[in-house]
Amino acid sequence: MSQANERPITIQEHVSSAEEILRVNDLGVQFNTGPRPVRAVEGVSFSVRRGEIFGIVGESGCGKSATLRALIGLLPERGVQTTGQVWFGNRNLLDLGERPMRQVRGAEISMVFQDPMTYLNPVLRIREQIEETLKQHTSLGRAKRRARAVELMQLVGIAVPERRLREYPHQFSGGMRQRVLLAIALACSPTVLLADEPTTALDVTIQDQILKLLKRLRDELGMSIVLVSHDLGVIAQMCERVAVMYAGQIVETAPVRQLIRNPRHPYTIGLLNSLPRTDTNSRYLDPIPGAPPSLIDPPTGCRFADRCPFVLEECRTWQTSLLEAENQQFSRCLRHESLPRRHD
Amino acid sequence: MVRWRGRVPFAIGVTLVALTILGALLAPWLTSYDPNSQDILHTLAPPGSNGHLLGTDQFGRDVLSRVLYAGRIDLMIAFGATAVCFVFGSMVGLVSGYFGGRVDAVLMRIVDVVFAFPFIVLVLTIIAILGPGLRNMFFAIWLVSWVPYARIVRGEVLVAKRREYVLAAKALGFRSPRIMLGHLLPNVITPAIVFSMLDAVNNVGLGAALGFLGLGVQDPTAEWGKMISDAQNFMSTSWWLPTIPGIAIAIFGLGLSLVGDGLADRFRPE
Repeated sequence: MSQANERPITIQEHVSSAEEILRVNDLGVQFNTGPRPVRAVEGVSFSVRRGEIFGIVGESGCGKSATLRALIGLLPERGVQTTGQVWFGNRNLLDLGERPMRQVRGAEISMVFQDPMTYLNPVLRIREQIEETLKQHTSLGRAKRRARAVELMQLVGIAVPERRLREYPHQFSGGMRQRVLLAIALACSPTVLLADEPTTALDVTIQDQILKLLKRLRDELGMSIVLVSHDLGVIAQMCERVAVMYAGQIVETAPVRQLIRNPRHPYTIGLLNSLPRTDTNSRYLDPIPGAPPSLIDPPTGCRFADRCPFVLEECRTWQTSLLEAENQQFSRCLRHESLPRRHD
Repeated sequence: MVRWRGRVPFAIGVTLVALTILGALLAPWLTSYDPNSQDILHTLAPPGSNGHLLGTDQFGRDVLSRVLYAGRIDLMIAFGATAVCFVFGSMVGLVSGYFGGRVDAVLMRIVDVVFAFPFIVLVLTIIAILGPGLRNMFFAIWLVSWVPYARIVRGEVLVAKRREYVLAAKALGFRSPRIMLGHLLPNVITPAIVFSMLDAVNNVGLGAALGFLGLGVQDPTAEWGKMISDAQNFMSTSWWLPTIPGIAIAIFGLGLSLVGDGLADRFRPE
């Protein structure tokens, strides 16, 4: 990701180093389902390294889930246009046919979702749901599949796996269901796990358990995780590097500590300031005024301009791109150099 | 684990249906009379007289053996006609709802056309072309009775396919047929199963109606509906003629409904 200052990131054709497992180049997603097209995702580029937890953070509707689903072709075929490249090894997943794509999904790249209740099939026993995945992607025999299912349940920390495998999803609590979803996702030892707000539907104590589990699984299995969340706290706790999305674009990307210590985009600064704090006497949160722009007809220039306290005249007209602010830190802000440091 | 409260009606239903099936299967051993042999000396004999446990009809034919043998025809109509419609209609509904778009539009227009056709007119046409009889009656029912299944299942699929477990199944790399049959079908089939039980009872009534018009089962074969319509001239003097086959239909119909409800509960684990 090396590049000269003040120039957009150059698009590389392949996963450039052995370290990189997934590289997304100039990803765009356009929904043509309404009367006018909606550009939900535009010019999103990032890469994920082996064994890394990469975070994508942003508010509702900023395109984070659409980005994640586009990676493995889970967006509906009708009325959705996906552009750009997703390099996984030497394969561009967006060019892959339906059949090879199916072999990637669930086996090499798998996904866990936000609400674990609705993502489990209510009429199938847990055993069937785990073993079916193994049947689809491996040549394991019946007995080995059974053994593997038990092993997976233990891996995600479910007690008495033999009995629980015979149960239905409604017999599990929220946190346990998320563990089951993880067990299914991990069945074929994927190299990349996409996690779409995996803890949003859970209460805080369970959230913490699941996050710790995810981290432990990453350490034990050496897979990479792309973690999508609207919660900067979760991202900060979990990730090595993070991309902040706003109105369908990445506005800032950096190693997570660097981003929190020294954000170089006004939106990131606003996000951090709007977090509740325990170390001041202020009784009020500090929200970002206004609302994100419509993606049907996004404004030219910087999309954050209308809400930005540091806005200049040229902000509304420049052809935005990610600019290198610090080492490994890129910001879609003209004024990234003159933004105030966070007063910590 | 075992919740008897929900299972008692189901058990009763199974018993009633089993009773009907056993009666039909074991007919030759349960009665010594041929269903079509006439005892001219004892016509319209009341139940219990002259060794006829349930009496005789206007030709002196034994009502018990006719009811039992009629069960064979009616079970055939109930299950044979319904099963084919159930499978075919459900598949059409599944495909239509899952793929949507043009496939859905074409299939559902066909369904609309069949629905719009007056059933009896269609059956009369088919039988006018093919000739009367049980087999052609089956054709007529098959041709028409699959459409409600297609509509029921399609409606369920439209709701269910937006559920996240379908997306999850896609994310696990499953193929469309597998998602449709393995993940969607168990979630959408319950209303169709319940409907099929009522439909089976309906089909028995349909067989009766066609028999009454002389288009279904032909004389002298016994069939419950036909027995009732044959009895209408003797109803005021010989109560047992319409009552006995009527009870048979009631037992079978009640049994099927209870089984249908019971199955609906079993397929819904939560």
